[in-house]
Amino acid sequence: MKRPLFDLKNVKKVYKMGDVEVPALRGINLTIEKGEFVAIIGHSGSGKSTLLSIMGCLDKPTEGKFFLDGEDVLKVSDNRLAIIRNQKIGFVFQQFNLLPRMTALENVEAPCIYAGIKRSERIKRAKELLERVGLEKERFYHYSNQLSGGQRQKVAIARALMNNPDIILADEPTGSLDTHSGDELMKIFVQLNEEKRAIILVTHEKYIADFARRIIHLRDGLIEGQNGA
Amino acid sequence: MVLELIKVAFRSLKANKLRFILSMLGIIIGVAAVIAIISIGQGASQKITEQISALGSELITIFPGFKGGTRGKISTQVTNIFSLELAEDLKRLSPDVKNVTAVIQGGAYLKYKENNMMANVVAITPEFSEILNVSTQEGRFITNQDLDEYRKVVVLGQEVVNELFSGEDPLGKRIVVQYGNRKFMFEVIGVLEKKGQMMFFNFDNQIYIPVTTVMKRLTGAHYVSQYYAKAREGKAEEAIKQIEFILTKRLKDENLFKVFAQQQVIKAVGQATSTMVIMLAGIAGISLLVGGIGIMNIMLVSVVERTREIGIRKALGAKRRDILIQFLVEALIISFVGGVIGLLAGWIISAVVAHLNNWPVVLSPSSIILAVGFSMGVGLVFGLYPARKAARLDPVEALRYE
Ligand SMILES: Nc1ncnc2c1ncn2[C@@H]1O[C@H](COP(=O)(O)OP(=O)(O)OP(=O)(O)O)[C@@H](O)[C@H]1O
Ligand SMILES: [Mg+2]
Repeated sequence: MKRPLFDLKNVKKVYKMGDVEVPALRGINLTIEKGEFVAIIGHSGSGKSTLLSIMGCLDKPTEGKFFLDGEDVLKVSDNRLAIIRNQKIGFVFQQFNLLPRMTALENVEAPCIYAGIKRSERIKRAKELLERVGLEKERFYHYSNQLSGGQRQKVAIARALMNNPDIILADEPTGSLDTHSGDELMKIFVQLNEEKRAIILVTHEKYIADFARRIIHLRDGLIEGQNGA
Repeated sequence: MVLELIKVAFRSLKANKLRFILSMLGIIIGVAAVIAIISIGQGASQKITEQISALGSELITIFPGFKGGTRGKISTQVTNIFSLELAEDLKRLSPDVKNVTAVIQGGAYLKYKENNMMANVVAITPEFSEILNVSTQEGRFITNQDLDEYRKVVVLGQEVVNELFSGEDPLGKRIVVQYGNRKFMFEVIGVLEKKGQMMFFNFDNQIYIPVTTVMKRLTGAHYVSQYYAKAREGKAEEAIKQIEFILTKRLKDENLFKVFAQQQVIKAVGQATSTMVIMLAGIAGISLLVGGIGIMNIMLVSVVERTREIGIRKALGAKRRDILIQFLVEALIISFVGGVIGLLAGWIISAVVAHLNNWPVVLSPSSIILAVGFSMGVGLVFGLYPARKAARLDPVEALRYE
């Protein structure tokens, strides 16, 4: 039996702010297979980021079930979640989220440090990946605050690929980039998808979502509709 | 892995050097204070012990006791018991007493040509030289013949020579000694070798005259003010018992005298200084705790500031333990570097103090280990709370932090 990569059943998330309860997700049912390229689209506040955080094991739903690659991740330890994030998932964020006071190369190395991979191997892999995403060699030793937005996002993607994950989760990765850098980035995502990696991408923009083979529309914490697949 | 986390910790400390230094300050001051106090205390007590031991651990001092003092009467020191004959008897009757000297202490006004000064007068018997390890550098010491003939001869301490004779050779010269309100001419027969300060008196600013001269010619007193005795090698305790036994028999009252062994004095001084040092070091130790609170303070600020970084690291797969170690290592680096700098500062302070006071610089390995170890312990304890706080941050909330 083929098991889905993501399997969410009636996932709800309610934020409590004092006495006020803010429902961010109101019952999501979603399955995503291995190697899929999915875009999640919706208005601001519709719950896209919340859904992605849950899928990335950064957050837990208030209610519902969630199996990742067949594993009931709502029942595992904090340590196991850290290992899943480290090994199975690569994150790309709108605000790049590079580590401060670290060079491009060191940023890319970081996931391998937590994976306990030795230095020479780490550096070799990091350089290969940076070359692959098209960062110029002379930028490898620049600190994150010395790089442009496009360059930073390239570093972030290289970092997401460091432990060779099956899943890339990207929350508005082009949101802080101009169209040219955005297109360049999307080409990389398409390539990664061709390598059988599942890509889940949150976006506002229709034309970015069109790179995906399946588009999920969110509205007020519910899946309103899907196209593709 | 841990090595990498140490590197990361170093990196973030380097990024904010001023804060790093400020966070170390409390520890530096605390460790410096502890080290300086312990080292100065040990140096001082070593010097004092050395001085006392230089007098010989076989030295025994016998003072008159006090009488009266009951029923509201004021107690007075007993003055009419220590005769020269009793000193002879003590020496003769106690097998473990090697030598006894009878001493009268007083003050006098000295004059030579136009120079004059005040000095302590120590009236002694020849045995004084052997018992207190003093000898003359020039001329001769007081002899039994001087005592038998009540000679008006004097041996001078170095400082007295310097002040009174200003370069002139004092031997054979006659000086005026005003004792009470009577003046006597004394002939200088010797100059004592330089001895310096020993415990309670300075041998160099005193003059030494035969005890019988004081008794027969100067005051007419029949008794001396104290005895010094010297026990045979390693027999101090036995000697004291014998002296006490004889004196109790003779005087029929054990409150009329007091016998002190030099060893007791050494022990008492040692105890007093070490209690003092422990107390002061304890107070200084409190400043180490304050330094620890400083570390905690700054680490807490640092955790809040780096909330986002912690979130990123968690998204990349850092476990709680990884974050905990990273911040704990930071606290340990602060306290270790602070401890080492404090150690150096404390060492410099104690070296300067030791130099000024002319005593040895004592910095025992145990106090080094204690100070650095304690400061790292402080870093560990006070770093734990901020590090745990960092490790327990919720990843999503940390990533959302602006
Ligand atoms: N930590 C939080 N505390 C309280 N409410 C929250 C929190 N995070 C999200 N929300 C609320 O949950 C809802 C969904 O938020 P989410 O960030 O998932 O939206 P989004 O679709 O990603 O929006 P955008 O496109 O602006 O990024 C919003 O109404 C938001 O106000
Ligand atoms: Mg969002």
